[in-house]
Amino acid sequence: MKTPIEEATRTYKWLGLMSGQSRVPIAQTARTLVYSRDRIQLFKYVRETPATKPVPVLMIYSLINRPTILDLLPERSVVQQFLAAGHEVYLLDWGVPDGLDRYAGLDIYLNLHVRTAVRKTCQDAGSEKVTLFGYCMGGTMAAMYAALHPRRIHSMILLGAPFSFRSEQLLYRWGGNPATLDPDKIVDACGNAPTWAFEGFTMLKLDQKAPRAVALYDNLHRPEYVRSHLAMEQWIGENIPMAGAVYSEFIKGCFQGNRLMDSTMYIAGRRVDLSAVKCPVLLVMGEADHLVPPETTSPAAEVFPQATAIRFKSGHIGLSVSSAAHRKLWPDVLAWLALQQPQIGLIVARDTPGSVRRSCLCRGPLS
Amino acid sequence: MTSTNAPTMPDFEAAWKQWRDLSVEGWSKMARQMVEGEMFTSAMGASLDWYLTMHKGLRQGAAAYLEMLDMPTRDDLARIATQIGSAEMRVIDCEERLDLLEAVKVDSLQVRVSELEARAARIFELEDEMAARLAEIRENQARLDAALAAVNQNVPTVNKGNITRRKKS
Repeated sequence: MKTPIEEATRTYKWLGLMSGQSRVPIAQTARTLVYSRDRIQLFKYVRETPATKPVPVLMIYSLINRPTILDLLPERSVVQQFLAAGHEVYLLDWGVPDGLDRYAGLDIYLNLHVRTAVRKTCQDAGSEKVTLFGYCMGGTMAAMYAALHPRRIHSMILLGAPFSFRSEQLLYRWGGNPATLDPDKIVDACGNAPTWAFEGFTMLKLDQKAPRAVALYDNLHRPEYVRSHLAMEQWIGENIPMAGAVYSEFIKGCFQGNRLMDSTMYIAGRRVDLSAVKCPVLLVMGEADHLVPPETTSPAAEVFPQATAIRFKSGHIGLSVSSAAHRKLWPDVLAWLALQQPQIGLIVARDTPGSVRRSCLCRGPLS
Repeated sequence: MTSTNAPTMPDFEAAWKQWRDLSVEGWSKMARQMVEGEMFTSAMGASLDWYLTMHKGLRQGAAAYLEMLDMPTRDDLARIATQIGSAEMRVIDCEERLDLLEAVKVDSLQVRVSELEARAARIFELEDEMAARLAEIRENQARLDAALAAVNQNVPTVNKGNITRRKKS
């Protein structure tokens, strides 16, 4: 039984942690800047040993939060998992949009930013193709991109990515109803969708706020728990605004119109047809995911010609940061990716017009 | 003598934790019911509408003021930024077409180079054959010269009108 002084000290420490003033370093894996255009940046993660896999991985995250969740802590880092498996890893960082991005829609994001990132990744890595890794809305965008520009896509890993926006979960009841959410009103008034427009995600789990605070109090004696808690809170507090045009387009086209699954979604006049994605696709779903429940991802497995699906007992964020996912899920994902790597043949990269650079000789069919 | 029936002190910490956990559970249940209810959704929608109407009015007022001063608004700059993005996309389209053409050109150039290499090899073969023939011709020429020289030794030579016949031995 603790003494009153011990309890008081503990409470004081807990209040200090709950105030949000304590910070821990997150996203610490070393990386170099490959390309930048205004706020958009393409990073390459530094490898300690040479890559053993020929096809680089390009990570595309959602437009709602910062991509630091992919490299939250060293022992809970998706980036480190790919690096350890021998891949060259690149990250497309969207930055924080401002007023100049008001009219940037899916056309600009996919046909300019993602397409440039894919080209720069191929040039830098000396490869003709890339593996796209998309998380959440980033996965949906990665699939849209692959449907429009399949040439340089070797394979795709889509983590907690929604394709069919029909579900009984609260998020879809709120977002899917034009009477409840009119994106044009928000964009009309504010230009971009402001950060508070995404506080609804926090509201979805309002009932978990108090238990999390109590759990922190009970685990103050465990430094790794406290560090993990603080890292998560830091990331949750990093919501960013979204460019107005892409916010409106995504809400109306996907959430409310559900146009992706029936191929009636158009970007810059071109139809987005997911069945045109011929490369191997791995769909990873969290069974307890309240943001992207399995029923919003699994229909895509029927549409992609070469899809494999993995269901894992986890929530949305747990897919990338839970210790169970890093022990059990990621080895399976990386094993799948290893099977997709080219085995025989010569991968020839043309990095500048007129020049041919042979990057590696390895075994496997070229696709 | 110790008493086994001495009253034990109540565990205040355990009692407090039990009360705390029950309170938190009750609060969580209430929060979940509130968030999932229609009233909460309607209230959120109404407050959002009010805020957006007010905010839009402020923005429009600021934009009108800037227009009056003949100053560009943020919207004007955003449209220019989008046009720049569209121009960049056209550049990327051209780059990709060039890449495709380059790929086709490099492939056909490689075929052409292979053909030329084959022809050059054939020319070298013919050149070797010609050199061999030339050597043969030279050899034959040398033999012919030797034969002619032998014949010249046995025929009369003309010496300014005097024909000297050498006696045949």
